[in-house]
Amino acid sequence: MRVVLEWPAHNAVHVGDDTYFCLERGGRIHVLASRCPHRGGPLHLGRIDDGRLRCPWHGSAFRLDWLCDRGVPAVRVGSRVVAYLPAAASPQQHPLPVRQMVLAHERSIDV
Amino acid sequence: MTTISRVSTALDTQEWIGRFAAASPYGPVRSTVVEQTPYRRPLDQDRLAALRWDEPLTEERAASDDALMAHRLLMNVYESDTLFLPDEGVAGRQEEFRAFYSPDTRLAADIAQPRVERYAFDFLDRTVQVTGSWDLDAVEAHVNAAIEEAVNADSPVLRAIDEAPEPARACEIMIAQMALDGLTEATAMSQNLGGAYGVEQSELFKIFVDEFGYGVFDAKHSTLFAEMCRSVGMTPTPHHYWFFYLPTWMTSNNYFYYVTCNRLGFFHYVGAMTLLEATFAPWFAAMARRLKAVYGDSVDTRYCDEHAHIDQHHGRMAVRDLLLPIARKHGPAAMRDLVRGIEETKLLGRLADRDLVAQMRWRPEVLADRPDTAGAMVTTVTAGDTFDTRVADRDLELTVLSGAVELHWSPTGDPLVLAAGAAVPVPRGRLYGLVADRESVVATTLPTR
Repeated sequence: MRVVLEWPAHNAVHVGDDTYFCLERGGRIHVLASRCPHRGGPLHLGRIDDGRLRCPWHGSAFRLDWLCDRGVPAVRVGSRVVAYLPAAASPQQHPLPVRQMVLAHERSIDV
Repeated sequence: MTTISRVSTALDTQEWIGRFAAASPYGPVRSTVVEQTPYRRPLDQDRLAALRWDEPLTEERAASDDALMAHRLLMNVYESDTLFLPDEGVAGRQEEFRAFYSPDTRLAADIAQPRVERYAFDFLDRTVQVTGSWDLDAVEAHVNAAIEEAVNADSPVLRAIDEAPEPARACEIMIAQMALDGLTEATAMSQNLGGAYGVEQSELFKIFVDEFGYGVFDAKHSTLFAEMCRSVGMTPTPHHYWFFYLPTWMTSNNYFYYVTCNRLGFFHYVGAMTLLEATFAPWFAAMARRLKAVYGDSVDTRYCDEHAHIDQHHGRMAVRDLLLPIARKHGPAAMRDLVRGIEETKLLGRLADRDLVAQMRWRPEVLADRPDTAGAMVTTVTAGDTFDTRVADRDLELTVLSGAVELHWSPTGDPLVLAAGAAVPVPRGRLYGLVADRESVVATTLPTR
């Protein structure tokens, strides 16, 4: 499922109950699934420390390079980010680019 | 055979670049076009020496004088490793032939090439970002979306021809840029014909065979391009219009050498080539209509007509038989490079279109009010001086203080003649050159209006 974001006006995408968020790392934008593999916690509200993103629910920590390697396919040229999300649960669910609170940021809190 | 006469390991890259540019094929000429030889491609050594190779070009500086110089150099580096023989044979040009392919100059080119490439193309790596875990479905979706966007996009270049004050001059500015590739068509592609990489190698060869007219010279795409040039009164000798190549068009042309000279660029190349092959057909059909509208039935549009037809097939073949099988076979890292190639060529195409449209729309006109030239930078242009063009790095005004000069800004058409006292604005990014038939003094100022 293709979605086009205008970075940084958009820093996340909602599809049904799923959230994907943008993580800027080394000047590059990665689009990551927010659902924690442990119990589904919101990784976009986790904090980054020492190269790891910690889930705010149970403290599971994930190496950023591991997460970025598993990001959704994305292309950024200028402010335009095109991402290919997994198929939605229902054909009626369309991706909605948004700007929302994202705390998972390498440098500072991003609201 | 000539061999390398000496190798000095003490020289730095700048010195190797200087040594390459000082070779006789890259010496200056006096005329505004390069007459009848593929072996003369002037490089201004002083401007090259002033480039700061450690500060690579940026997207914003794509249409700059630094970009012009770097890409002229890079094109010569690439093409001095490509075979050119003059139509009339080399018998009368042995000295030029040997100088152009001199192993000493080749060595300098080989040493300089990586640094010049980094300077010229580093911005692509920073501007185009491909991240995430790519799979075949995502690649296919991205290719199809890129093709659909390109095919349905407005064509600012063709619109600029419609709106140009002199449509034929505008067309000829464009044809001169197209000649970069048109007269040597598929040379970069040929660099991927060798080696051994499976069934996709044969699929690429099928496309190549079409480009080369199935071995029939009259059907070869470069022959059709040359005939198109002749039909509109342009000269089809490679690099005849050397001085009028825009930096962004050289960037696009050099890009295909860049990704084919270095085998690590193969997947970039396949992505870039696929996008072009899959989007050229409607563009060339529209271009043929514009050329007919401008020149009437005398223009030979077989080059455009051939692309309008065969690229419908090449587009399908490149996607279905080349890019997707390569993605399937070679995995996620190759997929990212395929996507990078698509995005890099899209970006370079946008920059080239923007630059070309601006050059087509520019019609230099004498200013009603002469600028204040007190304290201006003053240059002397003299009859018999060597000719060169440059890109204005900011908005300028040129005022002829004495004598008279011609302002050249297109490969064909009359120049603007500026008598003593006349002044003309040159917008940032525009390419121009000056010629005088007597000693003339020109002041360069920044606009105050």
